[in-house]
Amino acid sequence: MTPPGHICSNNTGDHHIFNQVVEFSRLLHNAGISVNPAKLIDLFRCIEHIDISNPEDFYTASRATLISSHRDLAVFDYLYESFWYGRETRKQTKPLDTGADEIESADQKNQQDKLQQTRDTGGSGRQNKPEFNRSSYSADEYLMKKDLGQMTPEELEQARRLVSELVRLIAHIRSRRRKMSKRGHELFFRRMFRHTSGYGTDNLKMVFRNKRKRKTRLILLCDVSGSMEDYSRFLIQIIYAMRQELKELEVAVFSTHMTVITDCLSLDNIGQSLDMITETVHDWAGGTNIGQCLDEFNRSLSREISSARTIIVILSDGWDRGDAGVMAREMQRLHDNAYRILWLNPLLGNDEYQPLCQGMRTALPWIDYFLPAHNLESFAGFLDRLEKLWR
Amino acid sequence: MQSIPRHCFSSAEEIESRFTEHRYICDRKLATTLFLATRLEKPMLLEGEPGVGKTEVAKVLAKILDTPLIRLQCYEGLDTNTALYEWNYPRQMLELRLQEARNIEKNRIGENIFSEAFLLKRPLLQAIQSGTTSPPVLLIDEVDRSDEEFEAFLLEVLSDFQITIPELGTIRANIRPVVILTSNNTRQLHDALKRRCLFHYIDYPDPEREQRIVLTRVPGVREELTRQICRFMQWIRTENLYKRPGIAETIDWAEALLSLGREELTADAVEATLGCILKHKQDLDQVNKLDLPLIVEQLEHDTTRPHLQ
Repeated sequence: MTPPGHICSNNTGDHHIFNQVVEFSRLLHNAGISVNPAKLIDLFRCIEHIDISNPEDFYTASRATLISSHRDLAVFDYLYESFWYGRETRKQTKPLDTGADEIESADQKNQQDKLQQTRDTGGSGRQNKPEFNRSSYSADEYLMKKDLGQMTPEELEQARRLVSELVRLIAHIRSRRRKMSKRGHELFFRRMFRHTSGYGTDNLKMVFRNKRKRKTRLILLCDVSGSMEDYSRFLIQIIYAMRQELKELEVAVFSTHMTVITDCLSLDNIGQSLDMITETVHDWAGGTNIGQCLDEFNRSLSREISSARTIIVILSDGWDRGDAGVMAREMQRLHDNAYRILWLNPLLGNDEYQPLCQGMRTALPWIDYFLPAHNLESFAGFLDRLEKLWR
Repeated sequence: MQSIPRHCFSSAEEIESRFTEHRYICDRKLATTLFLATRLEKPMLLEGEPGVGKTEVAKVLAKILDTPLIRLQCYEGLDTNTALYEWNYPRQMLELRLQEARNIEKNRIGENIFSEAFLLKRPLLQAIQSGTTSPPVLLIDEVDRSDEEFEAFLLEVLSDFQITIPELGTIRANIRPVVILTSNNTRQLHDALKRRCLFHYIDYPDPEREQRIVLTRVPGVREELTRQICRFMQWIRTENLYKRPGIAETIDWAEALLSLGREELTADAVEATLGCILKHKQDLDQVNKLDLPLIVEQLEHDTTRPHLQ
């Protein structure tokens, strides 16, 4: 393949460039960079204004129109080089078919770079810095994918900070928006004048606006039985971070009994919080009786802390030693009372996992969303889902 | 609708040289993208680390075109009242009072208070209305900080350059403003918004360009000191820092060293002024732990990247 400048000098015409650019865009598309017709049209409009025989200008125009984030830059550059100059590729006769391979090799190269750099800097994963300025992105990415059960205390600390950031996003953005109301602190002048200006200033009716209140409540039920022990020690810290940001969140833990720990998690110091939880929760790492716990929840606690629009999040692996019939009945009651039920299962992170255990099978029909919760990435996915539901 | 006058810029080279005249050293890629953005009448989305001169592009562009720079700083919860327009409520209230005092017919009171005289124009409306002969430059700064609702609204404005005010009607732009959006990548922008823009990523400059920038921006700085400063900056950006310093920091640093009367970069000069380039305590601690005299020495002698343990 020759660079576009050569095409022009060969006088093969615009049609040829057109086809090649389209082919190149397909290559990008295969690599996960979505190129729509509008972008292509922009590129062709650009070509009218630049000297196409100047390779740098053609590159710039392609880059400016076809991609829209620096995250795509590295892949774009790699494919650009290999497509137009045939560098670092094996065979270019059928770019469409080799598209996937290319990405693979791009990734491999990337991986090798990373490995090389890791070795250079003494093997610490934190240190690796790919050549293209992605700042701390790769380190975060590594952390995002790491299994929660295998995190070191330092990583967990970092993870907690990340979760705080993520939760803060869903907690605050919405709350800055205002909504009209009859009472409040902030006058909504615009509405006041619109409604009452016709009657003169003496009859101005006060209209206020307030922060929009969420009507939906959020309750998190976390399984702390023996089978979850690997995760629950860490999950509790993540939940602490969530609770610190979301004042509306209610948290309860269960193994053989259900205990509300919202107040424990409200303390400013995580150490104190954990101490208090240890004192309050007596069945930590005990057996599992999900049905019985849900029964307790439905009977007493749910009336206290839940309302008509409640999102319930259950964090559990679904291993249950109780009566399946009771569990099914209680899941149904929970389902009837709640707005949505989300079940986060750390085991779902494993590709081969099938919800075969009895507890999980019993629960599945009553669950709205069944999501993984083994690493931060899956947590981010959960928060994303939550944000959409939580109005 | 009138398009941006064709004589705005005739080529990317012209942009490059006009920017240089205004003491902004831009590279060819930026100039080409900017040129294309003016020709295609599309907004330009500038991404890059903080301090690489994204905002400056818009400022310089406004100076070159000799048009007003209208800036909209984005933040969480930014709403149409702050970005677009707001009614001047105290004035409206006063007007109502005056009308009452003048004994105007009851049913005609307040008829005129939703007219242009009572309108406070916020940046987006200003940008749409202010172009008379040449396009104004509209800078939408740190668009990644705004929330999704605002992004959706922005999309509407940027595609049609018209704004509808329920009380007044639709206002169209006479001349499309040159729009520059900047983003620090704190979050992914919506695809629909990105699709409307031409994209450019401003990277940290290479050593030669950084030297040219410092020499242009800091009058009186010696070439030797500049070379040392830039080499140090190139090295420090390879360190694993929380926040890598940009060009803005390089310029600050050069100015600081100049005003301290330093003729060359020594280890104690670096130590004394490190706060100019590193703004986080953990970064300062990290660099202070290193053997600064050795690094300065090595940077002086080694023309390639220093190999430090």
